[in-house]
Amino acid sequence: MSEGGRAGSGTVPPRGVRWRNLGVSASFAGLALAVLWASRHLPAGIASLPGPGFFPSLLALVILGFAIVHALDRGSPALPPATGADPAEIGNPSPRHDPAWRMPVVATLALLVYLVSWEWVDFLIRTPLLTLVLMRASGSTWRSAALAAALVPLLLYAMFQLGLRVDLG
Amino acid sequence: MEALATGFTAILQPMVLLYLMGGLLMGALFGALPGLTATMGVALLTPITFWLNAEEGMAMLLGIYCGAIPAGGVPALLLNIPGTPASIAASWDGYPLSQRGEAGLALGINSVFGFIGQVTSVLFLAIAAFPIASFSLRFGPPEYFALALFGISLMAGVSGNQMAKGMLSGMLGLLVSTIGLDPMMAVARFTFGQAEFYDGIAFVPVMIGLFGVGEVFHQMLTDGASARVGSSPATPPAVLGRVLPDWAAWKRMLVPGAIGSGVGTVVGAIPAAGGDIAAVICWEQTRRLSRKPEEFGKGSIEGLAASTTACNSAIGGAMTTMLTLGIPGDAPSAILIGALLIHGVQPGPLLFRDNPALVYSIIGLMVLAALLIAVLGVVAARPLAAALRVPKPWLWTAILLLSVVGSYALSNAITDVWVMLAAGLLGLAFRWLQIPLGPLVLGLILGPMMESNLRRALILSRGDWESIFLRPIVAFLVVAALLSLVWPLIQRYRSGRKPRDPLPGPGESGG
Repeated sequence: MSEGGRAGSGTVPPRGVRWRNLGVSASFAGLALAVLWASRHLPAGIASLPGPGFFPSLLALVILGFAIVHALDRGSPALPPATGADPAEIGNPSPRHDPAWRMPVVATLALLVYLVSWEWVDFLIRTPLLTLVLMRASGSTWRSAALAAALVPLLLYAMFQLGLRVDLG
Repeated sequence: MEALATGFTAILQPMVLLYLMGGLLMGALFGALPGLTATMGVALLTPITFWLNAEEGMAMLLGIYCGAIPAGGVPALLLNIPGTPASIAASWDGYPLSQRGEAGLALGINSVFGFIGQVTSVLFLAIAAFPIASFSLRFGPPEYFALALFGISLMAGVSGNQMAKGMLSGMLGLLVSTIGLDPMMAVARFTFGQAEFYDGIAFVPVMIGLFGVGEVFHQMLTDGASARVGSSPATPPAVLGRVLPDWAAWKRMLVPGAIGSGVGTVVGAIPAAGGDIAAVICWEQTRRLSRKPEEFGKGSIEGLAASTTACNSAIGGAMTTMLTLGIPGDAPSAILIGALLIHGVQPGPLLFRDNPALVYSIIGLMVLAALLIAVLGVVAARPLAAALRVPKPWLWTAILLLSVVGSYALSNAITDVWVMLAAGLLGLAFRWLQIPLGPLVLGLILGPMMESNLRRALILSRGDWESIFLRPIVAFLVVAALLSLVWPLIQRYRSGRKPRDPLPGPGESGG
């Protein structure tokens, strides 16, 4: 279940990677502090009778410790694969192209709008619209997007609403 | 004997066989299409099993799992693009073999040795699972806590130089598992007044988000430009040639196949490493033992047989750990735990005592699945190769929509869809930041077990940590956990002094 590459031979990671790693450490340390703050009202109990706050606080402290270890770690970054393997598939950090942030951002926004409109807009109206946006955002042609918008929601409707009796709204 | 008969009778029901076949076909698609994985397939289709009984649900999900791993070899052999992470090593020899005009032979070896790998590992499951489960019935709260600790540490240990990130990921999973009512005193924790979270964060939507939406977002990020072109740049060879190996080839592949079965099953059983790691280790070991090591990486049938057998054997190994101890051996088996929980079945030693028929059903289903996918692999190789041309926008859109509807369908709760989307964004962030997802999943699964058993152990020992850690099994597991954390550091120190050939990084194990 692990991702990321195997260690290289002890080279110092590039400056960008180092800053990114520091960002990871800071985020986890921040999370640990937030958990410690949020669990201040939960009784920690005593050694022979640990309370609800015991385990989360213990975890927060461990996270804090590993965040510091990670911040101090000067290990090498993951190496690219030695094969023709698809980098995206094996969790390799080096993208084959410049990161195309627009696609996931548009997709996320479209999904957010879709979820917010769930209560008010019918499934067979909101889902084709979402499909159209997702297809276009993924670089598809208008023709393919229209075809997908007509077909995919109907398939899902047939499978879940008609077949499994799920109320899709 | 009654349980054996009941278990095997259950899988011969027409509907169970139908769902198994459907699962295999879906699994073959998920495995063969680059970008889709066994994990994603099992996660996306788990919600559908909510409407099925346990046997039917497991038939479908095991079909996907067992079908996707060998099918992942098809694009690896024909296009040098591994369909799943488990088939990375298969491409090293399989693709050169195809380039030599022996694509049919490569596909044949993939099918036959995939079958051998799956069946031998299921045999191991059938033989070893009941004794392991029986032994683990002796475990008390301290042992279960130590087992969970061992699982988490092992996961972080195999994250290579990402060990700290692995531990952070695992701890985050444990932390998320504490959301909801406290298991012993029913005090609400981190629910922020939302009643929907009192039962905790639903596991399946999180998995769908992490491995479905997160993967799609990451592919959009990295493959965005190529997706506009529409399809895979390479084309499969037009002529496949002979499919089944001759007698001389069989003899050469016998030992690699045996090594693959053994190594794959053992590596798969470790709650950390799946088919991808098993295949790489096995390929390397077989190369060292081979009389013709110079052929490895250039179309060696021994290398292909070893890696294919290993990645398929890992399935049975992972299932053994999952069923006997309740600890997932890889990502797909982690989701299978969630699927079993949907049906009120808790994997672990008690499953063998309370519901042995289901265990026999699972074993029987895996053997059937191995047999059917071996046939399918030979017969359907060409259509699968054609399926590789599906444009990515279609795949991405279909996965995103199925993720939304599937998450909602689980309990008709829009909260689950929000959780799924949040998990998807977290999955994207983890992939981008190179934080392994495996420990997070394991933490989520093991969290409740770890916390409740640690607290019970402390209550039973009246707060005496020493008496907990001095119990033999606990001491063994804790020392093993520490070793699994320290060993990569020693290896890193040694590799820093002595350069060595880089091996490809492991993906989400098991595909």
